[in-house]
Amino acid sequence: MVSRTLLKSTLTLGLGVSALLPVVLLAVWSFAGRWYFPALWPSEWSVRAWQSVFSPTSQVWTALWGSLWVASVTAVLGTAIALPAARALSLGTVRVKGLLSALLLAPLVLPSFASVMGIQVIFIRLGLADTRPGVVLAHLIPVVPYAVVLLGGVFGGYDARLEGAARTLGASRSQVFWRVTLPVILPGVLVSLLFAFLVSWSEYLLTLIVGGGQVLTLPLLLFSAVQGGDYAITGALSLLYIAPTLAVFAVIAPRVQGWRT
Amino acid sequence: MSRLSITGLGKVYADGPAVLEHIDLDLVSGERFVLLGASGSGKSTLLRVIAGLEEAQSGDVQVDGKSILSVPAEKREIGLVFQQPLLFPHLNVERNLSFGLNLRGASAREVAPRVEKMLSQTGLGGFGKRLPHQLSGGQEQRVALARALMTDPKVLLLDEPFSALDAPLRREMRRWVVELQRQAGTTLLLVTHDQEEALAVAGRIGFLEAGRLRQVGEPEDFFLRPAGLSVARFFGGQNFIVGQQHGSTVQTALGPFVTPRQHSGPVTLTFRPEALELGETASNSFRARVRGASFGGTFRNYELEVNGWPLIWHAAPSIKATVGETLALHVPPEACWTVPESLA
Repeated sequence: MVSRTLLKSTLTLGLGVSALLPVVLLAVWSFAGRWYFPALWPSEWSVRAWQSVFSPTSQVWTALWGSLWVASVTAVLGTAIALPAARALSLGTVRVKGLLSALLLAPLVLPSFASVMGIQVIFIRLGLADTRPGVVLAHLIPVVPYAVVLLGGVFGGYDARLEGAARTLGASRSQVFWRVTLPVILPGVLVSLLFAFLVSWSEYLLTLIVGGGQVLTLPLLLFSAVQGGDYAITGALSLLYIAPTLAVFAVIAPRVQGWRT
Repeated sequence: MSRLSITGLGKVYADGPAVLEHIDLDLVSGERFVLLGASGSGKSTLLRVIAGLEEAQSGDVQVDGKSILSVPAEKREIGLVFQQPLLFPHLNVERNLSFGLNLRGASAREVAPRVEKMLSQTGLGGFGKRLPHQLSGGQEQRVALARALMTDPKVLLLDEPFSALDAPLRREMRRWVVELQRQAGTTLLLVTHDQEEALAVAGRIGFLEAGRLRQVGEPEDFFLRPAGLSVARFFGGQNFIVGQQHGSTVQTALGPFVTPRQHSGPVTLTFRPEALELGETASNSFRARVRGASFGGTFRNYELEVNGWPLIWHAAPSIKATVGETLALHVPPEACWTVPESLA
């Protein structure tokens, strides 16, 4: 089927171009010295933006570290919280299943901006405002529902009777988890970690409110660059912002297609 | 080699009827016992209670005289093989087999030769590196059995282990399990709804119905001396005639029948379809009209009618009767059995 192959490769090409073109543009911007409308190409090249981004006084390293810290901790915590919840909901061991899943998924429906305004008052009293742990807790609001939905699908294809089989072979409850449950659902757990990481990585508003400007992450830095109107620096920062997510994806994606259950 | 004793075991689900009611069962060391029952009779639940995967509300389970109900499943040393193989999908055959021994802290040097031996014993030589999804259904179930045997369980429980396989493979697996059990000397408790399977494997059989153990005995007891009508029906009984028994004689619409069982009161008389014989005798005899005939492979199946009572006769293939014909038949007294109405 020639036409079908053609259609498929055209689509793949189209998707690839539409995903990559903005990145290419960002790269061009980051090296642009002068680039005025209606020129199709910068009239002058410069490494000024990259020098400024990597200068000793730049806040990039603080923001990068802040983003990595918050997103990694959020991903691990969020997945750890979602794991038992998703298991209980999809294996049907809970009574008020409908109500519980509605409550768990509510943050997907409600704007987290609304809930975080209320939470902020409590966070200030608890001393969590303006701290990384506080920001992580706020990020968990949108992250946990995503992880529950994702892992719920994973447990949908999981045979819990494997655990009974493992018990009769001599495995304690914790050994069952580490040697059977976790390895079997590992691809799903990795996907959950990845998505939780990405949701936290791209969070701006919650970081701004709970972090109060004290917790610096890349999106915060990026926004101030955009507001500053310096496109070269915005381009360089954007590339820095994209790179780690691509790296994380490259590490996790090949591991997800491993074995079949 | 261990003895399994179950006394007064009872289990009730929170908002349901009793699943198990006062089960008493004693398995001697190295015995092959088959628990037979329709689906929903509670037989799988009983195995799960013995293995420690579910709890019972009353009674006790003992292995070699020691109660195991308070022992967690992983310390009971009771193997359980399910209807589905439930192999660990992320581990290859070898690592599925060594799973239990690894948990017990056995070194790779100890484990490897035992895995190798078990693989060859179970006809799985060369399959050690395969992943479960690369095996056929029969191979998977053999790995599951081998995996359960690797840890030398005191008692091996099998929960309909062959019912997902096709008939020839099922027969082969049964023979193979009996052979393995003989070599290992493990006490075996197999649960099935398949009468043929029970007869192929069992030393003794127990019949479970609605959570109650209705009858325990030798295989032939269930054919010739059923404890109740449901047992008789389950084992292929098709002839049931109500009557009044005095001593060893039952008065029925077919005439008087002499039975080996003494009783007084209302009873149901039953005899096997293959117990009918041609010819007239003083008692246990009647004239039957042939209403239907078909060939059943190893026998001829005749539908008969005697004074309005339907009877089924599995006759030798050499006996040919035509529909509408009237025959004189009798049933030898030793082939007759009665069930008191209270137990029906």
